[in-house]
Amino acid sequence: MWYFNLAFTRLFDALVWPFRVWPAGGLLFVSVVAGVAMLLIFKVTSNQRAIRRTRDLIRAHMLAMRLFRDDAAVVVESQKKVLRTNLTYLRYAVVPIVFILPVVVLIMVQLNLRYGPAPARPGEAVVVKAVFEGALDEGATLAASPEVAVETPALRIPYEREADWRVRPLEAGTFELVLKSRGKDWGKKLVVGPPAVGRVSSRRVSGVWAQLMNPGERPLSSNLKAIEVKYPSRENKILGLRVHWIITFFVVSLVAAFALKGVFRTEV
Amino acid sequence: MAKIKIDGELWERVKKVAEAAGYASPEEFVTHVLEKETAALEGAGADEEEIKKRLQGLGYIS
Amino acid sequence: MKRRDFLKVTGTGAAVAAAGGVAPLLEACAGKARPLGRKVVVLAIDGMDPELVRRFVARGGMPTFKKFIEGNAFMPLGTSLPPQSPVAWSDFITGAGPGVHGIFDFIHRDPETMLPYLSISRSTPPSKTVKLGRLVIPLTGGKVENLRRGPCFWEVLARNDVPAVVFKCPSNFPPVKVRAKTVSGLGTPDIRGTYGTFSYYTDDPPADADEFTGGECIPIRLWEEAFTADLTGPANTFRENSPPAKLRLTVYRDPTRDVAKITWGGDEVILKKGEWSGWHRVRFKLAGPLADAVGMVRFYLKEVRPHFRLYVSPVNIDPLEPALPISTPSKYAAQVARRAGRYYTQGFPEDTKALSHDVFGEEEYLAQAEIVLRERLACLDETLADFDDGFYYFYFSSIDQNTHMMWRTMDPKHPLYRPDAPPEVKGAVEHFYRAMDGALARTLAKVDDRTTFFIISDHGFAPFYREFNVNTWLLDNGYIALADPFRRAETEFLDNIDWGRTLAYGLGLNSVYLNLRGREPRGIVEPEEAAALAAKLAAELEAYRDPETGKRVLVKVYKSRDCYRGPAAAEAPELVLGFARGYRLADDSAAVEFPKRICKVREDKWAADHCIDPPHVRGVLFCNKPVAAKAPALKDLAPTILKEFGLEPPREMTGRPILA
Repeated sequence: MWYFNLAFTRLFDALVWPFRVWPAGGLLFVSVVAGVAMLLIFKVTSNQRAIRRTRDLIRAHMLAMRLFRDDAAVVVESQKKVLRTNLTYLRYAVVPIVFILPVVVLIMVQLNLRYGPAPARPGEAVVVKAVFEGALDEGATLAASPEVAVETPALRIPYEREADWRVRPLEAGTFELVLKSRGKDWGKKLVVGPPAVGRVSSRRVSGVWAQLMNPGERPLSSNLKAIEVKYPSRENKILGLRVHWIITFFVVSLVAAFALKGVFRTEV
Repeated sequence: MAKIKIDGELWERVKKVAEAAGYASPEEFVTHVLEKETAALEGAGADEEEIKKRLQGLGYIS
Repeated sequence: MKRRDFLKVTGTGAAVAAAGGVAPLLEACAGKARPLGRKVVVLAIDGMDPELVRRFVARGGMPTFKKFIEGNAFMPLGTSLPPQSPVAWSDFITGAGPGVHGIFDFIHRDPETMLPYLSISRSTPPSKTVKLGRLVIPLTGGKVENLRRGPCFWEVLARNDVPAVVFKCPSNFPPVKVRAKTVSGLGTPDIRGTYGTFSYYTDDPPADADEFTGGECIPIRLWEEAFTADLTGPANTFRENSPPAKLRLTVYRDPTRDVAKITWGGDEVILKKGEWSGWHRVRFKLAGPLADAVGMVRFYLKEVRPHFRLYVSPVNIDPLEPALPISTPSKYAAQVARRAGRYYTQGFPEDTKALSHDVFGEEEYLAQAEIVLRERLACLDETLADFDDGFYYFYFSSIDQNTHMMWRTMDPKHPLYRPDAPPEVKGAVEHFYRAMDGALARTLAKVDDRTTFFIISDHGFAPFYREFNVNTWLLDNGYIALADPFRRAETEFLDNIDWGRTLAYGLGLNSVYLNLRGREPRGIVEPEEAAALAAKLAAELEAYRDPETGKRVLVKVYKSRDCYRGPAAAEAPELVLGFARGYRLADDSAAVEFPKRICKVREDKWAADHCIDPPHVRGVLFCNKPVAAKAPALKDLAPTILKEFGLEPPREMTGRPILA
């Protein structure tokens, strides 16, 4: 799983690399690429002919409604048919959507790495959280390099199997936090710096599914479910407006897909 | 049920108003008015507390 | 209007909800004006007292002031009548007296409804709404109004292209819409619409928890070392009857260590015992995802065990995302905050109420006051760095609030003096004077030979040993009659008054009104009898002596007819009380309550004040130019500043330029 994550992450690094100085541009570019990818997957995995036929049918029924709008019986019958054909259309769309969804999720996971959390700011405290697989290790401690002050002892919440610390980075950079528990060390990256710095992974996790969702760091081995840094949220501005990256992603990828469906000769 | 005394002239006026306003009886009208006024005054009590709190948020008054 | 409705109108919280944090009401842009030769800089230090300056300078703690005094003007500055901050700063802003600006006291009453309100600003909820299930959708925006009238001197500056910075000037909320960089000061509410309401979460609530003012005690019970409780936000006008919006806090405590975590809406903060957090954003949902109100709080973890005690600051308007207009241009508050860090936006940020109610100990209060000071100094640095031309005004509340609270610790004659208090408590007032020395040093760096520089305060200070209840005095002397004398103990805020037999009543901190026919709804004093009655009352009050000390309580009772001129003069209270040093109006008198005793010893820690006879609490005036006026007063400054820029003061300004 780690190597899959690594490869996918590197691919995205390459995609957004040209936009180092304009991060929002990277988001827009990836969204357009995602729109095209969705379009192509749709084209390949769907029954294009059937879809075209269904759409023509819907159009025909609509036309019938307009032409015979004086004849109530025809209008009602056409309306029924429009509805029924729409359901047929949806049935044809199910298969391609099943193929598109995982791809979209993987893209969103990657985008979250880059546009979700912002790096911690020098001088500003963040919370670091360890969640144990089994019972909480009451003696767990957190260590860090001298550039990061661990300001509190562990706050332990036994029934959540959780231990929390407050750490305060003193300067910008990428630092290693070390969780010491039951004779073992577990590392977690802490990214500190100006908000423009690239990937920020908030969680290092164990478990296949969790890894897929949190691809930024090597997986943890068992005993520990996750180590998480509660980073501040990143402020993403599109044309000077603060917009959540998920909204940008959905709007731009859908607009791109619809705008380019002619170019890729795809029926949607 | 408690009984109260009421001035005869007022009672005549109450009867007239109650009838004009479509109440089934002057008693119903009186009960309604008393209920309304009592509720308003009870409510006002709680608000007074709020008014006081708001003004007393000013450091000068405790 | 019913008493109930008054609340909605007073509640700035309602306006927060109505604005929904969506659209800032004010939008003005501070364009770059033509460069000017002149600069005028005003350092405004609320409550700085000339005598205390002399004392602390003599002790050597204020070297910059000492040096400044040696070569420049230093004299007392006449204050306003009455010497209350909103009145005094309105004098300063308008260059005129209360007869022009209409602010006569902290508290006014609506003569139509006889309901009291805070005089600086008023907010009105949206007038037209539509109900949708449990939702109430506003069709018109609510509004917040600045109630000060008359001219505003920086408006004149802006009109003449003089760039201006006015940071936190009192009596300027919402800020006057002007092409200048301004941030509102005293009068700016917290998000609930109050002057500041803290929240105190504890499993050991004090006996008087229900009587907290300026704060709320929320009793909690820990279960498995955790609890959940609500933080109260603004009145939610999107709901029927506008209930307060709430934010759920979940708090965890370590099983053995003195450390706790507070979480809310996806955010969390960890604190050790005795630690303060930075500012944290809190978001109150008003109508699902459609409307919210954003504010910010600081947490203070007072104790973890055996008892849990968590203090949460009043929810301040966040300068980064203001829920109400607090600056011009509307982005200016954020611009300062981004560089200087977030800062308290509520009018008087020092939490004097937390100290009065023993939620803070002395040292804890001083630590909070220090945070306020530190933030303000950061804003001073930031705004000074940004200033190179025109007019600059910067305001400090530290001396005022801390002298109110800490005078008792340095005055052995004070009934609340504790000889065994630690030196930092006894030296608190002096400490904040010394801090102003630092502020002066930073400001002087910007003062050159083309700068006219002032340090001013709106009033000085006096100890507050004993309280006087003018309403009890009026009742005892037959000027007030109660509708139900048996409810005397519960009477407050002008209820239970038999207006048909009442001639005069006290309201606010210095005001006595006559029950005037034609003005008060059930007035009985004929207008032609008013002057004689006012004179009689004034004479009797001036003659009154405190039965315990034998001293006169009121040095002078001012008849407003002789003192106020201008379009607002008719709204003035007929009498303004000029207390002797050592006395002030009792809190319960300001709330129109009638305790048995007229005079009693002051027991609250707010035990120094300035709402007394103006000549006894004059402020300070320092200036780097010779002052020609014999007795300069606050209202003279606006015309003086305008003249420095070669501008003619508007006709309403009755003050006169003071420089030679």
